[in-house]
Amino acid sequence: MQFNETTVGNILVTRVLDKRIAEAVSSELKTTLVGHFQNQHGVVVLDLSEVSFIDSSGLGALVAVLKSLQGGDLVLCGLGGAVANMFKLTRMDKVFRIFQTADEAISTLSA
Amino acid sequence: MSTIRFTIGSDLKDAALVGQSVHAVCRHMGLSDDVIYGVELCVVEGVTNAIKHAYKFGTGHEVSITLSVTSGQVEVEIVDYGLPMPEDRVNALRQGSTVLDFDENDRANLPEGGMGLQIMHLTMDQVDYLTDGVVNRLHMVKHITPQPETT
Repeated sequence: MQFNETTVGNILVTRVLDKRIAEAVSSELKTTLVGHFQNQHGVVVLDLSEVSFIDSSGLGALVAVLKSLQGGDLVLCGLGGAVANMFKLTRMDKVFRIFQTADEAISTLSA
Repeated sequence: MSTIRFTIGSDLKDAALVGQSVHAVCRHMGLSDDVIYGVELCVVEGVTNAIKHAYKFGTGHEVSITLSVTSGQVEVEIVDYGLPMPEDRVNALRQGSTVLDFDENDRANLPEGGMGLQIMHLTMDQVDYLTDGVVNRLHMVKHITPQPETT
């Protein structure tokens, strides 16, 4: 998978550059995100604005990361179209903190 | 009726290819975004299940996907020749399961897996799975409102 990462204070914004998150890459996504928290990033904002498709294994990977947290937080932004539908269908939109944009997430989390 | 059939090897990268192809065909047929997303998702879930569970990630096995679109419905059949789906999973597919009935505040018990069958159950109007022990067929139907013809 490809990511674009920027740090703002203790917030790491990870933008997924792949268009699809499915079984073939879900394990890599989970490993990458867990690694970020092990590297002392307090909050990771996962920007999914470039992602046009996510399946149940991709969703499961994000849930697994959330469940593994010993502090800090994983929040999401940039969900559109099929990705937003998937979170709503599975009720995961009630589980994750979701922002419209990375800037909105940073602004809220920095306040 | 328009029908197209894809045959792939049991490789997860090809599951993505089928998903994108189904998406493109549904888009070409003028279906709504919600139907396109739903059908693409269920095809990917079904093909992934075949590769993951029927073939245990073994490569080089056949998975075929038939997509038929009429003015009233989208019909998908996914065929594999691997291990048949266990009866409890077939029941979950047909009747639905409680995997998504979680307490959103109970983080420790959120589901990490087992969501694919319920996604297919919720998204499609008919879902069934038939096997004779050799050929496994996942059959799904999504009813659609006829779309205005595009020129």
